Amino acid sequence: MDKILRIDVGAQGGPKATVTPVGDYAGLGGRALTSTLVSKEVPALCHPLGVENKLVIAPGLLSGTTAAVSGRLSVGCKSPLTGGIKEANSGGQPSQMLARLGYAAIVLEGQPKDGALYKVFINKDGVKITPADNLKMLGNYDTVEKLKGEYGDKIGVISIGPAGEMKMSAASVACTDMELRPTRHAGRGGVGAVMGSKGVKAIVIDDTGAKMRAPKDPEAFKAATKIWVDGLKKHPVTGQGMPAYGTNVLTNVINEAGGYPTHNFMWGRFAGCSKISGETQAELENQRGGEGSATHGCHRGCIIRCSGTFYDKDGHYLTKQPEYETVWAHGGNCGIDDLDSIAMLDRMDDDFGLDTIEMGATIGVAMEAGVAKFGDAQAAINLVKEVGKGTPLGRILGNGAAVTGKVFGVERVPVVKGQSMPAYDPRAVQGIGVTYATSPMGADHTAGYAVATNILGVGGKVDPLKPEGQTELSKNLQIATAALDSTGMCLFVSMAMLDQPETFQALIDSINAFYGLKYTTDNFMELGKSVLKKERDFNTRAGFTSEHDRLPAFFKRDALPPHNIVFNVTDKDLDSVFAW
Amino acid sequence: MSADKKADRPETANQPDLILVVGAELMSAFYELLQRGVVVEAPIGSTIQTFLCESLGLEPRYVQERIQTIFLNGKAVDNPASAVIRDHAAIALSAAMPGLLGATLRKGGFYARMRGEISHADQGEVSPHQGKVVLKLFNLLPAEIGPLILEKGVWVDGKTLKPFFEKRLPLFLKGCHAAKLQGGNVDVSRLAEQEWPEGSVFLKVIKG
Repeated sequence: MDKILRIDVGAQGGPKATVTPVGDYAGLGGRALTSTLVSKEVPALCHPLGVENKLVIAPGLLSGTTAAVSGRLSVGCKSPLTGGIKEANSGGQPSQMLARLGYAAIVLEGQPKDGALYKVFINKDGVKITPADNLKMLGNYDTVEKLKGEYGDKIGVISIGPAGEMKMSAASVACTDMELRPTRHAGRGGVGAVMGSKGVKAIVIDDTGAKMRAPKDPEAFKAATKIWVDGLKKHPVTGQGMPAYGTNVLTNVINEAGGYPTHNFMWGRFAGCSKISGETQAELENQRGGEGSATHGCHRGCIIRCSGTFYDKDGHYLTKQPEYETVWAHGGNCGIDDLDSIAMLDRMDDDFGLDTIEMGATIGVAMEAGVAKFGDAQAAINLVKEVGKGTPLGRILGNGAAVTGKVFGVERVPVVKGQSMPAYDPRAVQGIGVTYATSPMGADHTAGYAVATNILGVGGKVDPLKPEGQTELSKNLQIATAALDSTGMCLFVSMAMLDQPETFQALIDSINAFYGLKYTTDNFMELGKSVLKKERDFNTRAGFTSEHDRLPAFFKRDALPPHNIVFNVTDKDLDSVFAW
Repeated sequence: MSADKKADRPETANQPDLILVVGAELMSAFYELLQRGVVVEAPIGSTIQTFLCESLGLEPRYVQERIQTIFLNGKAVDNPASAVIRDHAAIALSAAMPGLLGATLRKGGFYARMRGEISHADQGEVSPHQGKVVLKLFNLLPAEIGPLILEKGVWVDGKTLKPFFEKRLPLFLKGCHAAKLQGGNVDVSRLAEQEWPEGSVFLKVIKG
């Protein structure tokens, strides 16, 4: 990964591809690379859909190697949803393929003439950019089918659906999985709209002939990755719970805790919870059977395999196994307790190219406004169809919960910095509310993940059973997560890293052996800190102040049943999170 | 890890209303009931640890290592050896959960302070007597300890049984070897047609 592919889509005579050495960005991957480049090269006050914004697509530091679970792809830009810096990441095949072709990043720059639409083909021989008029306004599934017809089935595809072409703020960037289906998405923050603004419908990658990336110290790398794999396999979460039930195993537990946002964050428990839980979902998928039904990986080299394949009642493929956040957003948050309907909504989101969290939260707001009734699954499906068609109502919904709340006069809009909250009510688990409020990304459950801050020795010398210190924990979690997001590793490895120091050390050792470094855990935290500093600096230049690091007022005012609690972390404490 | 039964586990004194003898492959059909919650006998006034080890017959090591998340009336429990059970309490158990929330809700976990508002606080003693609690099992636990609990017997809401059997009738026709209702044999194919009472039905499921 020693080169960067820059494509100026507005160049004289048509899009121009330039391959440059990685230069100042050497040693960076994933989120570290996207955020560093955006922070340095994108004017913070630019319009997110304008000529000055850039879309950066970067594999992680260990992508394209034999290290297991290293296939995350980061997508960064100035976000049209939040107005701040954005990194969204995705599983699927493209990260590994781009890395093996030697690309540390693809940067889409400029603006196309006359709204032209292009596709980019990348293989070991170079880059070819051609018009993509035949793909205009196609869904991601049809787009990939047409590209398969043209380029064969040994490809990986990064694409946008109609939502991205219409530059909607909830638009995602899709990545194909092992079956060449567009089921994996860099969902958050409207990164698909920025790709649409660059006039790029799809990036097709063929890594035929490209070799696995070679480590500097093969023996040490092999030894470290073996410990890594053993650690993931033996841990009860990564080795048993997630393969069996996927992320949706969280539904019952969060509901029991009274922190499952229901009917647009009105209540903390959903009566239909057991009908849509991970356990029930797995039972249904196992009954229906089919290839990869309840346990499946999203990319080659994944040994956790937390995903699955959802077949409809007649045994036809419908979508990948919807994740916890999707099941919540389109399910409990909208009062819908039917897994088939939720899977249909997931399929439509993937096809139109929409963030499932943003869409579910938006429909919840629309339901509160009376646009549809809570619990009406068909109405929810119809609303997403409106988005796909780009009707006036669809354009409103496709721009997210904040816009929808404003248009329909709803106060209870669960967003921070314009981005919808995921599936955990911050009144029940207040520590996550601190992260929602202060993350430079807007409300994001993956911004402060359970990355082993205990092992890293930070935020650790306090009584774990005392409530004080949530802000310090949130800060350290955000730092550690920013570092992990830069490696290309899936965040789900964090549970094994949390409990098994040797698994954490194996990740550091893998990076060291691969790059010939002598990284320590301190360096790991420094990397995360530097990423967050750049992101917060960008946001400051974009006009963000401490007032943006707040939850909506209703979380402090409206008590959440069943525990009847409000969010009580003070503004002063929130402001202390990043008082470096 | 297995959830071993203790040899001296007391048998329930209650006359079962419904006894099912099922093949191992049908046990997973009952997980929905277990995650929704079933009623079991419990020593009111004792701790969760006592209930799990002495009433349900789980090994202390299993409770300590495998059951990573415990809720008592929706509040996350950090110390099962001090959390006292009251009559009609709801106890939910889960194996290790993913994500920050999974780590946060763990008993005594490093991130427990992030959910201080929903942590269980011990509320003093209760006079000991035999009573009932609602027990919910999530994640890997229905498969691991569900059979043990179902074999001891649980009370379920009668009105949930009709849709339960309707949804799974083909599975029951294949995997349910015998059914006894109020002591008399009943045709498995007729389980979904029974007029189940509004109140509790005592259900025993035996692997065989």
